[in-house]
Amino acid sequence: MRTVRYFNQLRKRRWGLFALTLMALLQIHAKSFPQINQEIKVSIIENGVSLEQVFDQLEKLSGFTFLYKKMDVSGKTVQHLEAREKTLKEVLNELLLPLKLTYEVDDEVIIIRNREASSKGAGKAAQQFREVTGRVIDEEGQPLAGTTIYLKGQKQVAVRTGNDGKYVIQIPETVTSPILVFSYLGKETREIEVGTKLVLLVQLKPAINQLDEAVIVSGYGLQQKRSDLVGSAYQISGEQFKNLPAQRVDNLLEGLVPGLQIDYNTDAATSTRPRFNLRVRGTASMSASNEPLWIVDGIRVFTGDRTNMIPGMSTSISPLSYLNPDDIESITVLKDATMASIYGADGANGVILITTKKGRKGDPKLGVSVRYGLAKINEGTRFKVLDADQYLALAKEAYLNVPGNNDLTYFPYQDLPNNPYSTTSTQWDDVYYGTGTYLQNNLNVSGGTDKVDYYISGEYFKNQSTIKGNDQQRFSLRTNLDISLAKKLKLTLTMGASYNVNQLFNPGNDYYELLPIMSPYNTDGSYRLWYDIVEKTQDEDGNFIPSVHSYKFFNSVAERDQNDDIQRAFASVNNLILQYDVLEGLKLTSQVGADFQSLHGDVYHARTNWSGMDIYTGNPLGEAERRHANFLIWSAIERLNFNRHFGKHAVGGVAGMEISSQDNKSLAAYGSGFANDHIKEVSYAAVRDNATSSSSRVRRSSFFAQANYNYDSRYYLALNWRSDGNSDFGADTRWGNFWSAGASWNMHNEPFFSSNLIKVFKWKASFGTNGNSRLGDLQSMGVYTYGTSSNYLGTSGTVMQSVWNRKLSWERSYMANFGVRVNLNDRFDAELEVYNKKTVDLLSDLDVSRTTGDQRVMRNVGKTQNRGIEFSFQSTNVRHGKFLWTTDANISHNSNKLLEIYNGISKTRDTQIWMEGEDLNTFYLVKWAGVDPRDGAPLWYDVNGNLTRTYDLANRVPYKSASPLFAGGLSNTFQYGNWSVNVLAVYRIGGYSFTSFGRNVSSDGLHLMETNQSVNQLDRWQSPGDLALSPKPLWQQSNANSTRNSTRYLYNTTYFRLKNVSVSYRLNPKLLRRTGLGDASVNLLIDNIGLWTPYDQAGQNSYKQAISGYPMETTVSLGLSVKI
Amino acid sequence: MIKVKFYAVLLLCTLTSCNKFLEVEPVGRTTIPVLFSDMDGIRAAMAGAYATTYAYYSSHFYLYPEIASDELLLNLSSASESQRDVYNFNASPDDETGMVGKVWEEIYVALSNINNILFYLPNLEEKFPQNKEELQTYRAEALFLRALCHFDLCRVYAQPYNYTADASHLGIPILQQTPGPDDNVSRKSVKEVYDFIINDLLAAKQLYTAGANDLHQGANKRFYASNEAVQALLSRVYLYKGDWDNCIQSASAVIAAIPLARGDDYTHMFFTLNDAGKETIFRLNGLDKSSALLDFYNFKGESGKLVKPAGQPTDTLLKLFFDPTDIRFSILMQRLNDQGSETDGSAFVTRKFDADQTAVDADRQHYNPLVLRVSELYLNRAEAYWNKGQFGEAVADIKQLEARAFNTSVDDITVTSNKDVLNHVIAAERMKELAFEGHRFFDITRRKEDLQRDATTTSTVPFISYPNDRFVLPISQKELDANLNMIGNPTVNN
Repeated sequence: MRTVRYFNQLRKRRWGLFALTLMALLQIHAKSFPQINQEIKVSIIENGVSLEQVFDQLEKLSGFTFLYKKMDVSGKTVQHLEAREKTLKEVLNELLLPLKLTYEVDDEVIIIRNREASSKGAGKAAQQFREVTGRVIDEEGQPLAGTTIYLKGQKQVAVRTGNDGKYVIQIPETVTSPILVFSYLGKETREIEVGTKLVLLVQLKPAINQLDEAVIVSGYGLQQKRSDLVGSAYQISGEQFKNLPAQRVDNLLEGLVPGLQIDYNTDAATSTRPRFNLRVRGTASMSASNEPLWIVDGIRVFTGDRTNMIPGMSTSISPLSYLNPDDIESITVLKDATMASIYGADGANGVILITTKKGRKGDPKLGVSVRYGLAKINEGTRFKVLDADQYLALAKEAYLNVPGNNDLTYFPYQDLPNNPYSTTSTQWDDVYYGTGTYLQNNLNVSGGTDKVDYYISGEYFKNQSTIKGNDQQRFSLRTNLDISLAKKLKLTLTMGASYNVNQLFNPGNDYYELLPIMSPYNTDGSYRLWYDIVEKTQDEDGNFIPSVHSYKFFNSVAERDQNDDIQRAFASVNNLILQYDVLEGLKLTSQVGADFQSLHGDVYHARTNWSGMDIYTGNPLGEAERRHANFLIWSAIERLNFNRHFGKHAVGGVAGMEISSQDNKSLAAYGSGFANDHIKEVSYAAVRDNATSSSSRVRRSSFFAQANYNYDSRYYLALNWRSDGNSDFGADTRWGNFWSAGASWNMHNEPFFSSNLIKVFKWKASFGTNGNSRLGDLQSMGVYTYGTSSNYLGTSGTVMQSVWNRKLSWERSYMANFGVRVNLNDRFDAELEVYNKKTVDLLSDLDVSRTTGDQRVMRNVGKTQNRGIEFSFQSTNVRHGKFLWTTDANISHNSNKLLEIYNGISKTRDTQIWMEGEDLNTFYLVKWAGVDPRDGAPLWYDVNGNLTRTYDLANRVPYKSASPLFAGGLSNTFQYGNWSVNVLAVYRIGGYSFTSFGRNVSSDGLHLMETNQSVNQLDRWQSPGDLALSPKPLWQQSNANSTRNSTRYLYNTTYFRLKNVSVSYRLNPKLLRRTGLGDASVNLLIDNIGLWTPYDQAGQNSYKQAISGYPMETTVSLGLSVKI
Repeated sequence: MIKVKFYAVLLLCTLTSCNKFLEVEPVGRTTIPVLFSDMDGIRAAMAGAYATTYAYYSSHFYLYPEIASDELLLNLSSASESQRDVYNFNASPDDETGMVGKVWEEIYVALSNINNILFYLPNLEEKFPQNKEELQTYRAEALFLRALCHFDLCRVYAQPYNYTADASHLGIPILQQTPGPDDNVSRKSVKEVYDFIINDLLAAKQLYTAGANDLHQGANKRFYASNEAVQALLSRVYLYKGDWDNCIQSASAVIAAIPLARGDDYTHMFFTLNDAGKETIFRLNGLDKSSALLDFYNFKGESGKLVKPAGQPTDTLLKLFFDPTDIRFSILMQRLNDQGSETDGSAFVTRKFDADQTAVDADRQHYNPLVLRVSELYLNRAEAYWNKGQFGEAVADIKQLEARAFNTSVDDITVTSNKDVLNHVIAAERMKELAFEGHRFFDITRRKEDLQRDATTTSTVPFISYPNDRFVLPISQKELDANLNMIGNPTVNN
């Protein structure tokens, strides 16, 4: 009787709760779900067991799901049941009739009803309600707990499915031809006409494109539906990047998130593991980090220092490559003040939240996927250099161009026994590049019982780069558990760990700079260590004669084959979360988490090449270097979340505190002088010195609160506050306060708004502050350092390293955001956002009066502004029968401006300048005016725009900027039946890049002797009247400084890149069942198919060939994924 | 309920420890307040203060008054661009990495280290009463070093004291404590700077009289500030100021305490890094450090060959040694072609920096720059006597040095007592004695003389008359940009 009373109470409240409680009354029995003929025959013998046990047994035997109310069934026992090869119908009749029960069969569900109750119920409630029951499953047949079901046109009639995916909904009889709407995060919403059915079994398919009801995860347990969003956040589901290459997580976001720009940190061939610059809504800071903050499962993780560099290691490998993308449920990018100011001091550059997958209640579900592929360099993006014949021709011409060189007697590259220059033709690209491989194996198991939900996964990933000598291996494991400890107490454990082995070899510029007339091998096949050239020398009589000299050849091919450079990393992100339901809608959560990375680098330079030899004597030494670095960030978060509805008022919020500590430690040891190349350990080196170690610590402590309110899903208000303390800052300014306020209006929910076409019409606005504190450690304190230079007369001394700036504090951003979103008929959903971000008190490393004893000091000076507009849309272009075409696109524009710089003094930074009123990325160069057709001399413009033949730094002018005009991504998905094709492209319009590639290899003869040249050098001045691209080449001489920095090396960065194409075929499920598999699909992926730039010309090099320092890698891979 | 309590306790613990939690000490470095919280810290900071003083003495600052003077011939091919510019009185305010920027910067580095010590001394004295004497000594040493820094800066960037009648012309900022990044200190008049210097030195003298100064004894004493060093510097400051009586008094105090070194003791002062330390009052020690001075004056090439150094003595200087048996010529100068490597027979080099190196590693080869030695005090006193009209006393002091130079007795030396000639003799003696020790150009300007280089000079500026705006270096542009209260020097900063 107690249950009935409960029932009545709830009915007075809300329909949703009512339904949920009802669900609790239903017995849970989720079993596998094969499709079985109703006429199936079963054999069963049961004596003296409960009716429920019999149902269990029958479920197993028949494959049907039994639905019943517990109160109808409990207490009833079956004295004797015996059936041999009888149909289910017969068995049920025999079983149920004596127990005064009846049943209905609907599709794959058998509903058991109390005969009396249903007739009574019909009498009492028939005029009002019809009870429809059923179950919601996903595309794999697994129950979808938490699916929202409501009656179309009467949203208040809504329920949610229980953990087994089952639901019961009461439809008022007054509704004629009712339609039920089923919706679930990340799934396509379905509308189903009920007709006369009492049971509806619904399968929801994944919705790649439809973000409408997506629940956006934001920080500290806050989450809301997209239509309830006040701030600006963009979420990508794992579904959207499952077909993207799995090397590293940051690169997955390219082109998918409006306003997020991803660039290589350099265009030089400095590392085969290039660092990326990620910018959310532009560059705001001059000296502090401009990188977004990364949060995994609620805690911050270490992704490198200010510029993503990994301190303590010789090569920086992004920690974002240590995470298995397959474990990621969603990635959310928080952009505006409303979303990010709860991250206070470090939220100004945007926050990226990674949420890992969790188990869902249900039977264990196994997923296995395998992918294998091959990679080649993309020919179009290969930097083109001269071949042997072209080189020799140009070299000789340049040689003779030099006054005084009349013949080629002393030309250095003449055929010599060890160097047959004229017959050597080495394609260095082929020496350094090969075929890469891509292998990814994933296995995961997930499921849940009523006490424990689990997700367990393992991965092996191996990627062999097209640059020989480079590979990445990742062994990763994850266990995510949710355990109900008591009725109101839940424990969550997320543990992810990976072991990463990276083999490194950096060919640097060798692949395009080495001369094609050289070979990496001697004629006997051994590695070349010397080369001979002809030189002009004086004999004893003082006459000039050509003679042969040997020079060292620093052979990186030998280094690749003989040296070691291996970096091993163990990385883990672990979390323990305890959640206690204090009261209805009030949850107390405490979380302890740690991000730990332990890196070990082994470098060995073999005795057999110059890197491990005495550079003067040529004696073999062998050099070993061992590096170790540890990074630990631990965080503890205590928070109280609140969420309640009172009639039309919904109130929610969070209050809490967080403390975290970040420790970096590193250790390195070097040794040289080994007896042979097998020892390699520093301990056995003849000379061991220069052991170094370092450590640093930053601590943060914060209090935060958020409150949100909405009235009738029409008017929304959100307030945020955070107070942050940071040990990096001076005692006077250690704490900073940040806040934001936002509001939004769902116009479509207004009574006056009635449109069948416009489903969502939403306005939103927010304003608030954020900080940026990421500088490096203890810049404010004023520190004394130790070392030889501070000792005196054998006494250890210490000297001031940096001056104390007590006032050093947070950089502060004021962000305003305004957005509008329109959804047309669930077919087209577009969002436009405009923002203005002003950053003041910039943390700047500035020249300071030398009277302080320091040259540069971090200070809070300067202002920048980023204004921009972002537009994104999802559209279902064609939905016709089995064919579906959807588009997901975004475009964004950001304009950046330096508003104020210290004392108004512009600051030149290599090729760029910081100048008030200009973009922070403005170039500052002498303008190139081409080649003088009269004599092949270089021409520039002076400051007044007149032609000059003299290079003068005083003629530098602010000119163009590296910031693009527009950038974005475009993703199209085509589905036909079991086939699906996705094409992802990224593009950029406008913006310039100064490429360092252009320097040594476009040297107009200056570096012609040592380095091969770009094919652009072939278009050179040869005789008066030539309108040439390159000036007259002069052997080893500068042609009037023609190669100094000028706009000659500036390229427009407009491009369109086909980033990824995937073709998937889902195997026929009916066929699969015979093999016992739940679901299987095959997919073909092609990454980095091509790149188009408007200024590219055949046979020439342009920006296209100089984007990252290395050519693009095109990977083709074939994958199979199977679910059981 | 138990769980709720558990949470309450946890929350309370974390809340109370919050501020303490944010106190982080760096490793491998020490924050300023922590460093000065104990005696070990201030001891290390004292060593650091000397090390930074060495740093500025072992490079640009020591070379500037030589390159700008008439006693040094610059080898244009091996000199740096900055050195050439100074040589040609064409130094640019943008020369941030050369003399203009570095002398300024390096002295202020030393000064900030010294001022930090003086700032924290009162705390330490209160905290460690048992170390009172030791701390008193540090205070005296720091005051001496602070005076030295101010004096050196003022000599390079400001016109001499007597440039205006009341010394009201622009000096340098006076720093009693290390300024913060936003303090933007401004320049004070030369008079105020000298008053500040003398005040510091008198305070140091007072401390020594009160019994400080037991820390460094024996041969190492000369590497630290001392009572004699304070007196010696006072004598020099008074000389520059034209305060003859005080100059004589301070000089006499030192001369009474320390005798002149003679013979090998004298030359060992230059040739041996670990000499017995006679005559020396204060020099800086460069143990384990490198030295730009060595590179500049080095004339020893690979495999025993002699090469032309960047800096050589000029004819102007060489001609003063009319008697070649003068130890300062016969031993301290060397003709390059004596060992047959140079064809230029007239090429002389100075051996004042030719110390036997104990370290093989080039990074550890050094020279211990001389700051104060007794000979200078004879010269200071002689000049003061002359200015007071006490010519006999002046002659007596010059004779002491001459007698040492020729290794004979004072009685064998004759020096003119003609007033005008004696003035030249004193100046010449000063030039011969203190050549390349960082005095010459300051002596010229202090004596209001024109700069007259001889015919063989490689400079484009053979003559420059007093007074002249070019007699001081410009203030670096970076300083002017960063500190809007700073004023540049006329002409050179325009």
